[in-house]
Amino acid sequence: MSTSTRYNSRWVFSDTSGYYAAMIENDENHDAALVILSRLERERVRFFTTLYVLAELHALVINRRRNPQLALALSEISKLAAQPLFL
Amino acid sequence: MPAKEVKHIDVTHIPELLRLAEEVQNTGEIRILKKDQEELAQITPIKPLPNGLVPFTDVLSTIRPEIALQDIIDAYTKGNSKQRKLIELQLGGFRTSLERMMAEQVGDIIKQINEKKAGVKPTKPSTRKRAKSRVFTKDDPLWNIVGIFKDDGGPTDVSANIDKYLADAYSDTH
Repeated sequence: MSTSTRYNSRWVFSDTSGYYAAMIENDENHDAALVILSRLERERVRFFTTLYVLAELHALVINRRRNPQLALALSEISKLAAQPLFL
Repeated sequence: MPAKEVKHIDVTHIPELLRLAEEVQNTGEIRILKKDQEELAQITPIKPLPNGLVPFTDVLSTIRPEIALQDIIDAYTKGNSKQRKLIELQLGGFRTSLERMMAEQVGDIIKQINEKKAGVKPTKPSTRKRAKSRVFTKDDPLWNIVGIFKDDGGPTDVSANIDKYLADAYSDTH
């Protein structure tokens, strides 16, 4: 995730690796992602990303298709796509 | 004897058929559906594309992950056929996910590109509004995805090697 200041707010771009690390419990960067998210929550930042990032996340999760939690994960990604996270 | 009425099938909620129908519509090419060697049915476009308009697949091939949706028209204008082909090869399965997730948005862009190429001036400006970003709080839906998925037996270095695993994911879809 990278940050920038714009219009007197702090904006954070969420990329695929950040989302994935946060989402997958046994990813090696999962704990680090949680620490970063907690800090960003305290700092009251604003996220932005693109549908391409979510499409990449979608592709990665689909590739783990044998996992029974897949449907739930895809459902949550779809909800993210419906949220006002995009510039 | 009156002509038999053609039965209409709404494929809005049948993603595979919808994708196929849109592909036929946008390429103007007929598709034959087969079961093994037996030809079962034929999908034909209602209206062929006028000369000079852009096939759907060509437009998708211009999409690069690092550019925003709004930049696609510019990327198309500047890109040559060789660049588009290279991008298409690189994206592979990404396009499949993209088609499913962004059918509406991409369709709108295709319409704009086609109108631009055909020299048609838009009758009115786009009314699409950009979503407003909001402050990230403990109630943000982003928290819903945290730890949602434990990939037992799977690789643990995906986020550290995202390009490698994306390449695997894309190649696995073909």
